[in-house]
Amino acid sequence: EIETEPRRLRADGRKHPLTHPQARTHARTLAAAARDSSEQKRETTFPLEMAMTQKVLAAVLVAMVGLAKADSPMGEAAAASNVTMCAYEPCDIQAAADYTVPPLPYPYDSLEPEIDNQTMTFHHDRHFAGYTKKMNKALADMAGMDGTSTVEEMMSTLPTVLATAGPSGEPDASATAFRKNGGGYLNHKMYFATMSPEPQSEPTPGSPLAQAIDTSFGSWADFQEEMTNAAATVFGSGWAFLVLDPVTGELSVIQKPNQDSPYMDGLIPLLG
Amino acid sequence: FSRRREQASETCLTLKSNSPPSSARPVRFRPSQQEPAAFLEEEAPSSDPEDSPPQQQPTMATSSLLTAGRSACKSLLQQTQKSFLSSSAAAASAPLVAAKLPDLPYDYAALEPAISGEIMELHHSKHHQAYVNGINAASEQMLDAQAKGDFAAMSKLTKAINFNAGGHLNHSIFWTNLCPKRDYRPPEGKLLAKINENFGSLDNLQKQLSAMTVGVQGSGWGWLGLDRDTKQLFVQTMPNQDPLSCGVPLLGIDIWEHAYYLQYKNVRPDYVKAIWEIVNWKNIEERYEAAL
Repeated sequence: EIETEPRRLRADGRKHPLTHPQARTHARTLAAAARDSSEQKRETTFPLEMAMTQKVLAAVLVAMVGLAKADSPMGEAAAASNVTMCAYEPCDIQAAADYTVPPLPYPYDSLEPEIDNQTMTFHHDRHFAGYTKKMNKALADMAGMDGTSTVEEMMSTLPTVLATAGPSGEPDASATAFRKNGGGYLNHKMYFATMSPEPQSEPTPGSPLAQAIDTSFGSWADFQEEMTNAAATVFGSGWAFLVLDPVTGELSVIQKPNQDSPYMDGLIPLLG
Repeated sequence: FSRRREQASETCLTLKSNSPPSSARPVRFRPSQQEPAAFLEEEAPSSDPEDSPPQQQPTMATSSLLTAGRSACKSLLQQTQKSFLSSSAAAASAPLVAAKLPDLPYDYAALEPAISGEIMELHHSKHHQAYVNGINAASEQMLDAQAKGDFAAMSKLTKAINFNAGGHLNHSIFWTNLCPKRDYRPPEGKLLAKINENFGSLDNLQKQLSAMTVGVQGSGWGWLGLDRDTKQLFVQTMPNQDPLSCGVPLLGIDIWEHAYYLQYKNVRPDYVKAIWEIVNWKNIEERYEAAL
């Protein structure tokens, strides 16, 4: 339930984010979405679980409950939703390669002091927008763009394309451009979706995600330590990802250079 | 993404960009994916410790500027090469000399307005210092692992050594490549003649190297180098902190975000354009002539 008369100041003296008019509206929207969700009752929004599409949540559930058997209804659902599922909205296919930058789901300054206004603005409006624009150009140049695949699906089939050398002995330039900019688009689509000004600090106890993390890492704290270490030790530019292997159901932490997407390895990035 | 290690030397000669001015676009050399062992093979192993140059890393003394790049490269190669040798005798006879952060030949603010004093201070005292600390730590661990015969650890450490040694080397060269704007003068003499021969003009060289450097994905460097065999100039980009392979590094342009972002944000072309105003061509001429 959203407080209708929010406190002006938090106990630690920081301005309560709900005083920001946009944040109030936004918080109400999220609260409404949480109520509408038929899965579980959520008291606050956990961006990861909220933002993930139902298909991926089902895959996590299936994997963790061990129901990935071909003859079970859930197993069939998991098999049908193949490796290339889209983990974070928007998932609609733009046939004419005119993907747009998903708007930031919260105010630019609402993640302060952890990430400041200017960083969010540059990151989203310049860098993310740049990747989206260049991805559209690469898609337009790429042969075989038939408008039937999501960006995630195209990324998962990219390694085959990259392995094919063109006349110059290097892979097709537009395929390389898609690797960089499509990767940048997918990575940042996930990144901005998985943060929130009012985050839930851990997965809901007992939820499929929480169970999966405990199984794969031992505990939430162990996962955090591994993820933090992976992020801190990337050489040069790159990412640390929490990925789901849809085949084995395992979660793991991986590093990727530049904007390489885990979708290229058939892995689904959940957090980066 | 094939490694092409076996083709390295052939690729260096054929794909380096020193095309005459009429060529349509710069030839992009795909950044080297060589492991440290591969670039070590370029130097014949020397068992004589006396062979090591007295200076392990460049200082700002004038005489050392002449051979700073080459000797630093060579000494680092020898140093890390010795670490890899399985003979403990080699390890005992090649004591590790700690890397040191070189002093800048100018004040932090001296390169303004091309590069802000804020960036220079962070870049030198934090980032380069971190590479120095990193190579010292990794080298100690490597010698330790070698003494124990722990090949798993040695293998794991090669990445850290490559990264930090490269970072230390690249930045040591970089500081000498720059000078305050008031001291700027264009290239002269033998180097200018070679630039005109290999690129058509200084302007062409700057355009080619700028375009390649701006186009680096993620972190890396743009280099003007000299091929050791053919003595021709070439331009090449390298990823992350990989040292320039296939030749002697003459001029490096750091395109890691830490080199420009605070001032230029994401507008790389403005940074690369501005840096040409503070290139120390005297230093590059010295490096070139020493490498001939």
